[in-house]
Amino acid sequence: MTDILQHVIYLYTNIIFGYFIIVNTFYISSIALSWSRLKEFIKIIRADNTLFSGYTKPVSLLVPAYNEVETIVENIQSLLDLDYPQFEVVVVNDGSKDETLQQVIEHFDLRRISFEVNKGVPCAEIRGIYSSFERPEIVVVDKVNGGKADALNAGINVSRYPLFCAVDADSVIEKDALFRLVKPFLKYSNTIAVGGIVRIANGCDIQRGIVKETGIPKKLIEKFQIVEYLRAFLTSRVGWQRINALLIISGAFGLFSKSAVKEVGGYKKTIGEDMELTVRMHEYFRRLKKDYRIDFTSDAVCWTQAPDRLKDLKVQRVRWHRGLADALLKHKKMLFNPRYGAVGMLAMPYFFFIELLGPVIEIIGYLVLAIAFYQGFSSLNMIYIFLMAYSFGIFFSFSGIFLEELAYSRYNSIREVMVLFGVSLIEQFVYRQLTVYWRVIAFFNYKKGSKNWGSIQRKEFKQQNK
Amino acid sequence: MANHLLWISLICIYLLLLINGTIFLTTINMKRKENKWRKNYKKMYDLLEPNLIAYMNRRKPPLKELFYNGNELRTDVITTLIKTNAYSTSMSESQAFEDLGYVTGVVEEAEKKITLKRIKQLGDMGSPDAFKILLKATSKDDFEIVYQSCYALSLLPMKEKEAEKYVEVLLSTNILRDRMIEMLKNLSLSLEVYWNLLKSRDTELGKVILIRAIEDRFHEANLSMMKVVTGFLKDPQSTKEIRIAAVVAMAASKNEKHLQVLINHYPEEKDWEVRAAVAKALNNYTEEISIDTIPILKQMMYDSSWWVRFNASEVLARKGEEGINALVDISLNSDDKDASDLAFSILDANPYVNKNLQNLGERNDD
Repeated sequence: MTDILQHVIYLYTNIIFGYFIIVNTFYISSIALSWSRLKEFIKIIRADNTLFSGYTKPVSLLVPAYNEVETIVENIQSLLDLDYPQFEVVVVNDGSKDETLQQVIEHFDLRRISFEVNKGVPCAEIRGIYSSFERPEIVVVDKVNGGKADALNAGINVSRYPLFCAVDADSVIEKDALFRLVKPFLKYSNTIAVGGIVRIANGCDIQRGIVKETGIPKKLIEKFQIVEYLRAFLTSRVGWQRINALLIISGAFGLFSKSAVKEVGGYKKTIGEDMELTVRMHEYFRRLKKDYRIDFTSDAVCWTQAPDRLKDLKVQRVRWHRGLADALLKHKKMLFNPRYGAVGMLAMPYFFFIELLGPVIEIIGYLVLAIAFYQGFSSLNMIYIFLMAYSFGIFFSFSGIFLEELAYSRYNSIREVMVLFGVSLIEQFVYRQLTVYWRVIAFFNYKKGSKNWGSIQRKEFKQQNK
Repeated sequence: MANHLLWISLICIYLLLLINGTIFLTTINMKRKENKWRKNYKKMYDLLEPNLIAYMNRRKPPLKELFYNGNELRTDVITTLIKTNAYSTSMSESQAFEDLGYVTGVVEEAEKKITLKRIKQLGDMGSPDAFKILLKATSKDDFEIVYQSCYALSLLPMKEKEAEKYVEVLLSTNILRDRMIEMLKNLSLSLEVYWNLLKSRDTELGKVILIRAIEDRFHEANLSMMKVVTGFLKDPQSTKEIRIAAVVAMAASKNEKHLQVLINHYPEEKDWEVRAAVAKALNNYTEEISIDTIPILKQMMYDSSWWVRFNASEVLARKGEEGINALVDISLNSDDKDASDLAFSILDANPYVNKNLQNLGERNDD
């Protein structure tokens, strides 16, 4: 029995080593691609005379809201203060149980209006539309609860402009971010969607929807998330964009061509509606051999509140992983399918085998290590592999911080940068294992649970900063 | 096998230790350099600002420190200073850049190697001396270089001959049409020069972008120009894009006669996009169109295209009491549900309806 166990452990060690080589080759290639793209991108934006020129395209900002009474007014106000020549804010109240709708109507002095809804994409019943003569740029849609995807579809149907930007009700968009986000649409006629970067607002000084000063939050759990976000956006999404294989345009901040989204049927009711839509757009445009471009502009910034309690973080991560599983399994036919080019041959396998299955393989690895130690036949090999995994983890986090400093340098002092490096060292213990564990739970339960709204406790931004 | 794994892992660990250490040190060093650069920038800015303002107000000859010396930091500081102070001093930006040797210096650098930064600097300086090098840059294979060079060129003053070359180059690029129009608008040439450029274009794109570039100037156009534009609209050979551009130009003339031509053209037009452009163009110049056009606007409310109906309803909303009466009539008495619903929604939610009704109420009170 012991021999068999020892053999199994030895075999698994070799498997995990092989897996490791593949995973890290992917990661290193992604970092190299991101680095090269980011250097090129920064040169372009630093020398761009057209950035704030008069030529833009009007944008509809869609704000789906469900029980957002705490932050909704502040959020709408900050959107209305954006520097952009022509835009409207379409708030979709998805049957909130709290006072979200009343709060918005009263604060902006809106009244119910008659509105011809063009049902380009399916959505649940719209109960009423509210606006005002004084502020025609605010439109509030009150609809029967149907989930975030359904709320976004209602927003698309009511919006007036050819481009729409999906914005989370708990986020703050930088004043000039729309100018930056819209650029690819003004440069390449085949652009169908553009993602912006999402940064953590915790620890920043935000007043009336404007980020006055960036900073590092006090809680370790929030610091970990800053490093995670830098890693995800700067070492991964930038690289995928380089080969037109970006699979996620974040639901918190992404700009879409309305006609392209309507062409693929709008948002689908799923947990990760943002990723599912992006994957479906790739699938549709590649299948029909239509020329298209899904872009990522890392200089267009949206600040979001990161969960500062383990309970909320767990809800968020489980939800994200379920969304990932749902989106990938819905489009599994794209996996290793050369018809879908870089998306089918690289992005889908990466997300499937590394992002989706990775946590399962990793957690088995931890179990095997524990058993081996317990049984007393842990080998030096295993320890080295785990040390290697740890060093690679640090390398990816360090790369994220390096690319941030190379390109944007948002954190002002050397001390803050040192803190981020320090956090990267300890992130590999407990925090990493915890998030891996949550993702494993989500993986095995991805079909269970609600496909509606996630419930994370939100705070007003001023409260958050305190 | 196990031994191999051991060695590979060990080498990887050492390598990663080295790489991580290098990344850490490089990043910290970058941060230090950046902070130092910021400090130096501020110091130089504060030092040079009074001297530069005095020079630009022609109170003092320029100090040696203000002249170009190839230093990146100084070029950045002086560029910002000149651009910030040009409006409040008696010297133009381009003159200051030329006199202090920045145009010659950056052109020389750009001749050695053209970069996006140099292109931006040359565009910012707005000196005609940069025309040649920027035009040369438009022949590069790199789209970004071409794009930014074309934009920088649009910020330079140009004579007709240069503008002719510029338009030719612009038309040969993949830059999107609306951006080309913006660049041509930036040129700020006289209407006659624009007109000559338009006359010498033989492609649809050339005609469209030039008509659109001067759309704000058509109120200065003479009769012969407007005759040509009317010809574009009426010519059966004209493409949809040219007809739409002609519609915009005719409306922009703000001349009642030409607006009437547009209104008369509406029922004859087969293409819905051109009809929608007619309705939209009328919407932009509601003050200039006569109340006598209300019957044709009502006719537009029954068009097969939603966009035509919508644009027409918006014009009616702005046409005072008569326009509102027309909308009420359609809303209450029309058998066409689409038209009736649209008229109702405009009456219910359009801010111009509200404004007109308020004015009407005030007049009645008086």
